[in-house]
Amino acid sequence: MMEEKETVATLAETPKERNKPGLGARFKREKAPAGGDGLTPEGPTLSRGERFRRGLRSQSGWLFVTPALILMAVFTFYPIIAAFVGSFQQQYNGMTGTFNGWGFDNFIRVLKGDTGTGGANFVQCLVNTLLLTFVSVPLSTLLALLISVALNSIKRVQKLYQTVFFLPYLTNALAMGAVFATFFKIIGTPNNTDTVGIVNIVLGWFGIKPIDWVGLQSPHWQLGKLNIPWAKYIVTIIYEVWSGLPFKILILFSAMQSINKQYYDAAKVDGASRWTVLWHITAPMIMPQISYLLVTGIMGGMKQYSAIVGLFGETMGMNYDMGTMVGYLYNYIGLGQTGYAYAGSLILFVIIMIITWINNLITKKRTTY
Amino acid sequence: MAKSSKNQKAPVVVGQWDLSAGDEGFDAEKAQKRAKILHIVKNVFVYLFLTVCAVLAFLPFYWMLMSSVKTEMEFRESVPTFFPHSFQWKNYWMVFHQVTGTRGGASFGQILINTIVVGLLSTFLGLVVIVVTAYALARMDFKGKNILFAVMLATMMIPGELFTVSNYITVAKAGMTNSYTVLILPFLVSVYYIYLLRNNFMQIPNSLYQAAKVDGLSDLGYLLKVMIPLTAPTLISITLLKFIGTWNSYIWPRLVNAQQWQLITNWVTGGFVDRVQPTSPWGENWTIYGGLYGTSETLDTLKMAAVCMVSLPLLILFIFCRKYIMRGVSKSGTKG
Repeated sequence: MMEEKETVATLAETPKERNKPGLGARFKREKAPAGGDGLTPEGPTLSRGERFRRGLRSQSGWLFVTPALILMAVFTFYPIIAAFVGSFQQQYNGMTGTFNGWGFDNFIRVLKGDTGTGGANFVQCLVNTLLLTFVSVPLSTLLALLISVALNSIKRVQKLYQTVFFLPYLTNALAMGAVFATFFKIIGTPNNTDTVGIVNIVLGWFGIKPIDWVGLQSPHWQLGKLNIPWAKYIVTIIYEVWSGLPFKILILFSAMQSINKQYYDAAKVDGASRWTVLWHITAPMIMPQISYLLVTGIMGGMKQYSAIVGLFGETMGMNYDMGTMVGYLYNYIGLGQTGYAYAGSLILFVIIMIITWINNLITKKRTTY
Repeated sequence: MAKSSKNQKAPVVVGQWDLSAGDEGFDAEKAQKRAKILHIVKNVFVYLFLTVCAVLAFLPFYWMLMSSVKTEMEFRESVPTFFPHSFQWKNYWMVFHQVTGTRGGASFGQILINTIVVGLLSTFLGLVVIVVTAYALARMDFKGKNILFAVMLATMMIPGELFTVSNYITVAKAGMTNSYTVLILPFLVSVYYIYLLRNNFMQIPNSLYQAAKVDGLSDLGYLLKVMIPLTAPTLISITLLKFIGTWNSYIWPRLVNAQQWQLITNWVTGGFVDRVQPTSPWGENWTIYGGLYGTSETLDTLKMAAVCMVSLPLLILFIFCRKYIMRGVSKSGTKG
């Protein structure tokens, strides 16, 4: 039946080939006679005006993409240029547009931490971001892998577990950050503590003294100018593993489900053990998903900010000791120092480009062996 | 160790030779039994592991819900209670009527209206732009289409934070701050969704278009009556993710708008204290604890009530639209 219709359609279509381009052409064609501009000549002999008009009609696609193009021009293309230009303008004032010569001054001051505004320190933010990302992303990917393997091997209530594991995905980083902070918080005055928080109570069972995880007395190591607030790192990593799991489990589990069952049957015939199956069938088959998750996880980690605000408030810890690179940008926009914000955003861009480049190198290598 | 690994392999081998080796029947039965026990033990471990992980994944939600109805005294007990002695729903009333924030201040009602208006408008307008652009890129022929598409895709490589600084200056110069427009306009175009929908559109066979033409359908009619219904699952996923994106957006609203124009996530970061402010039906000085905690200390029970009010709508949405959200997420990997 379908085929019949098709032949009819092609037959019907041939005489008015010009209708093809789409919406715009159709509308204009119907309008033209109503406007009463006379009969337009058909066939190969066309007037110059008509040929021009038809040429325009075939380009009516541009009309459709115009809204998107205008919006992108203002909010995507222009900002890219502005960021490159603005980061090289010294002592740039975003509101008045004045600046004091061109040069690398912004970058030097950002990297040296010599902004003279009392804002966040870039190197501190960079170290925080890199450390948090490169610990939490592999950790949560590994845990997601374990859970997915376990989930894949059971038959009953699989759906229920799947739903529970996916729940944290849809939550708000700020709201859940605040919930996590209550797990670790010591409430009360220094002399009269009300509660040390669930985590400290559990640690107390093993004889560990209460630690002020998120508060003002939070323990840290000092490495020269650099501050390593390890207790806050642990809190953040726990939160990030928890919030990163759902997406990773979703991807890994659906990848495992789509592996051809014949491989497993063949392994069974050969008498392979569970571990052999896992290492030699499941692992290689889901390798692309694992590397995808690592890359997107690292990319996302480079842009982390909301969770830090949820856990440690809008000042990102004490004296921005938990600042991240994105947090750095917003900090300097807020201070009205757009030149430093531009320079910071350009450095972030370069770092992400380097990660993309490394990723491309690795994936190319893998596909060629 | 070696013995156990031998046992592990036994059932498979036995299973294979079950029929041919009739005289080994007794041994095979024994081995099968052992394998069965081993299987059960393994399963117990797997379920135990999954249950522990599931409980840990769910614990923050449980803690959030229970803390939101505890009294502040109970919340601060040195050994926390797992289940509240009594439910104090007053916490929600207190939070609902509280005006929070330093820049202007806003009540929950105001913030909720903001979020819903901005969410609906940006989702609807965004969908129109996405559908129209995707249609042009998938179905229409015009010069420079491929270059345009390539340029659009290339912008996905650049982190959005690079745009924020200039966009902030742009909207501030245009005098658009403190409005809904500034929350909607910059996020209408989302290249990834255009890309996703374009691919969906291209999968629709051309013969359908010709069939529709024979039936006298115009191009617009074809888009509305054939293409959109056929790509409905993708469109629903995009709609949901876009709305969730608005609900969760925090950085941009805080940057460009004063409190009374901000969205629901900004409201959560405010301080929630034991003191109801002018908008409440009880007047300015109504408190739960009679001034025991002062009027500037943020109480965690109140904060958890606020967190619940922001998180629960998302969880409910998830329960009803689980299929579409999970599909959309596994495709795009973004939060909108």
